[in-house]
Amino acid sequence: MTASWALLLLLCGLCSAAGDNGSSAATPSSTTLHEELIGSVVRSARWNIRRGGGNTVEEMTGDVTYERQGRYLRADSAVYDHKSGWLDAKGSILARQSLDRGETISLDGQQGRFNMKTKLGQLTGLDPLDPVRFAFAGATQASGTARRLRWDASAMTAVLEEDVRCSGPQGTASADQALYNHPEGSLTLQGRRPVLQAALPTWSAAVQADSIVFLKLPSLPGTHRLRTLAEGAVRGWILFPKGLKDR
Amino acid sequence: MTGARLLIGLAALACACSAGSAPPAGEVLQVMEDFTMSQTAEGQHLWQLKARKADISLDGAARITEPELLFYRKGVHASTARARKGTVQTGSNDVALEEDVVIVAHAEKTTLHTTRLDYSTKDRRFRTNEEVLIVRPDARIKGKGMEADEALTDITLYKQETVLK
Repeated sequence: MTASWALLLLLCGLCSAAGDNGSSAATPSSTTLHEELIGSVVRSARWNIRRGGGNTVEEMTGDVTYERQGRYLRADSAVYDHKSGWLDAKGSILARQSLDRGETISLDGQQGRFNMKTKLGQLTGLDPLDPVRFAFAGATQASGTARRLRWDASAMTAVLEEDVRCSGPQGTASADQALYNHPEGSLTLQGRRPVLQAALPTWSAAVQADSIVFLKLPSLPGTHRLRTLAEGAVRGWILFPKGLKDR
Repeated sequence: MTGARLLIGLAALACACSAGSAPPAGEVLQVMEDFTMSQTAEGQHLWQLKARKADISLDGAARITEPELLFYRKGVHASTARARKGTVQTGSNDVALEEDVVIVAHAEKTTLHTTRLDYSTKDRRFRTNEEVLIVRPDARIKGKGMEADEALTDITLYKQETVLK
């Protein structure tokens, strides 16, 4: 689960960058944003910019890509409306971020939008059979799916919605919603009685509750400590190997 | 073109016509220095072409040297295109700019560089199949193949690569 946590955390930043991508061929709305994007490279088969009526609209089609220092984004097409601040991307959207120590996180979907002014974004899949997918690849692997991802880059919060499923070497989790709050260091699974299953070498467990909350605890750099809280009609079991007493 | 009228002015004219038989197509008939040509509509400038020299030939084209095209939008100077040389089709007034072609759009703070650019007076748009570099305060945009209006407010670029600076 720690990998999924890191993933959600990084998705907030990554998706913010996706919004920046579309404006890269245009004048950024703030100096800070522009400075952040210096050195970025945007490519597309076709690029059109139209200015008039107090607005500028940029449209990129055909393998639209954005690259900068280990960050890679692509879509089939993207439209950025400077006045409203909305960047709309469509078709085989992929966001990938390389981390230290060779780790990579990725996110893909079919339709996404991000507002450069409000810093709100959303990514959806095509249909239930083609949901939003996210993955973490490194020393451990973790991946998941959801119908929709919404995020607020200013507040550093994200919500995975509808049929949320995460899996990794240490277990799986499923819920109707996963609410990630980076400032609070919390991830809350809720809706449709979330289920958490853990399968570690020394023990395994499963729990179902009205909500399951993961809280990030202070830890040494490069390590993760989580407290897991299950609340509301909690049911579950813990299985220890032979020779250990049940707790 | 409705309501438009063309004015051709020349500060100096040196006639290179040969007396007697007609010269072959492509041969220079006239050489004009400080060549000026403009198009207006409803009393307002649309564009103005200036060139250091224009060689008029029988094939309906004028070879122009160091052309400078000034474009106007609602009577206000919107952009300037310059090149080392070019061609003006005398029938359509379409202009082809060649070598070190540069367009500066002041309001858009945009400069465009390419090696060849065609301007159609019919739809008032630039076109090229050559490599293009667009420089703006925040970015350098490269591409191959482009279509744009004269004020560079509507640009379509192909195989584009943008580098933020």
